[in-house]
Amino acid sequence: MTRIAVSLLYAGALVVLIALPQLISVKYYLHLSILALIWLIVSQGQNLIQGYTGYVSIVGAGFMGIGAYSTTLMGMHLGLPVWLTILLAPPMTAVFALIVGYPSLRMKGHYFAIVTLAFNLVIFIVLLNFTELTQGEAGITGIPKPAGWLEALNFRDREVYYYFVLAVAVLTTGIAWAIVRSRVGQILMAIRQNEDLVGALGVAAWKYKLFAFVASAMFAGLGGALYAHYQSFINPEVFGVAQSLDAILAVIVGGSGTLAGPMIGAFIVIFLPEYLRFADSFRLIIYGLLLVLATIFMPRGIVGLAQDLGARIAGRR
Amino acid sequence: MLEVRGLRAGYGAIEVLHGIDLDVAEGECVALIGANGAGKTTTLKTICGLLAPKAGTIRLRGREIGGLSGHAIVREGVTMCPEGRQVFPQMSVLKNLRMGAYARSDDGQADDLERMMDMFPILRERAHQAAGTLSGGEQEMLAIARALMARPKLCIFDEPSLGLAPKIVAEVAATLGRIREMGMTILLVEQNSLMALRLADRAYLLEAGEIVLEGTGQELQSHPDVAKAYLGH
Repeated sequence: MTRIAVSLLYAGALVVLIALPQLISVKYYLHLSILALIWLIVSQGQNLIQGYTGYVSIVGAGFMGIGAYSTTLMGMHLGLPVWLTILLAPPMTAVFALIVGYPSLRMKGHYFAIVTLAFNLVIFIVLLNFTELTQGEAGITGIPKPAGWLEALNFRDREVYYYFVLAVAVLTTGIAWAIVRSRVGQILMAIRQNEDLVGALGVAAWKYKLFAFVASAMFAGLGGALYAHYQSFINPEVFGVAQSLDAILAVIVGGSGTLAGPMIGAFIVIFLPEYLRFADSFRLIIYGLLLVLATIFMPRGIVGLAQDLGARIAGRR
Repeated sequence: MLEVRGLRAGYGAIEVLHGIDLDVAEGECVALIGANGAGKTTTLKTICGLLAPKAGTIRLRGREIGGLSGHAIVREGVTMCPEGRQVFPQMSVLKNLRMGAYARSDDGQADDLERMMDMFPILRERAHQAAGTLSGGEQEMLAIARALMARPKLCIFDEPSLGLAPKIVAEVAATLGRIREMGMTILLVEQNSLMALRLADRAYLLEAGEIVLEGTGQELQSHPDVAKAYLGH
């Protein structure tokens, strides 16, 4: 596809996303769209480490939790304004990611995945049992919404929050794009293709891997913070391993190692289970089956499938 | 250029190299030959910083590099062309070559790129093709060219003939010969002893972690033990 066609596609997607609240009549779908945009932010981060660098990390939701709890607790105990705590959530998450990433990035492949999975379990257990701080399973309620600069920006209004999250999602996608296009991004993709060779080029691969891991954690932390202030309620339940797997799925189904993949994947991961509600108790079985089929028949995700189709049409001409 | 003295190295409690002395002078092509398990790869790994020496010194132009990490040694000027046609399969040939110069910050890279394409016309032809779609011989050429893109002081080739058809091996040998003519300092590690000895100015024969013979390529080729055990005469 030409660069113009791709830009047009992105512009079209943005127009649809901007118009979406006006097209939606059911409030519940607006709610899901906000969640999908939050997942988009998390998935863009997951894509950096998983899709571009080739290291499958299973701690995405754990880092979301750290972001969510740090913005909430800083607001509760330090009395900081919501804007500030949201901005501080990613650097807080980054600190934890540095501690987790330094030892775990010595592992490769499945070993790395298992170590990060263990860290997600640790985060989950700490959130659950450190009740003095996190209020355990009962969770924290009444998390404030951001206060608008202008009176018109009433974040209690779902539509306003939607546009707020959309703006952040566009911004983070832009950051992911800039990282991927940079010299650093070149090395990340090189690590995925042949890590030993990267060392032979005189590049300390571990620094770049750690960068990708910390960056992905910051994306997740930001997503978690936005989630906390949107729902006004958090408990450890939503930051478990199952949600980390959702982030991985969003990347795989959408198309890993592409910028558009996580966008598509995030909406699928949020909306597909909802659309399957008609199947009642068979819902999760069908969901699982669809994902298995998707991975078998579209290993490069929806974006990969679209690229193949595009190439075929171009070839026929 | 490279001066190795009394080098001992191994894995865990097992010592593989029992004190090796090895020299590569500026502009020289030195071959290291030996059977499987003789310690060729261990020697390379230690020089390249993938393995820490247990004793002995490794000096590059008088500077001690033993025990530095792998990427630091590359920046000191030792580039290795690893065995088994290592390329970035999804990147174009052009990008692979540019990656070779990643650690460089001078502005001679575009000229070097042109030089490599002149030297390996097939790479110019395939410049925009993904490296993974190249044939084995073409990938080896790309790996060699990429190593040269780093403008190394010392270039180490690890088994460049491995897994290639005889005709392609001859091509690789001719290429290495040309690189030697350019004045590049080369350390060549090969199981294909005949090819290595024909190319090399000097050669070392490694057996069970010790250097048992050294001499010019010619001398070793005609040495009765080498001829019998390694060249199959």
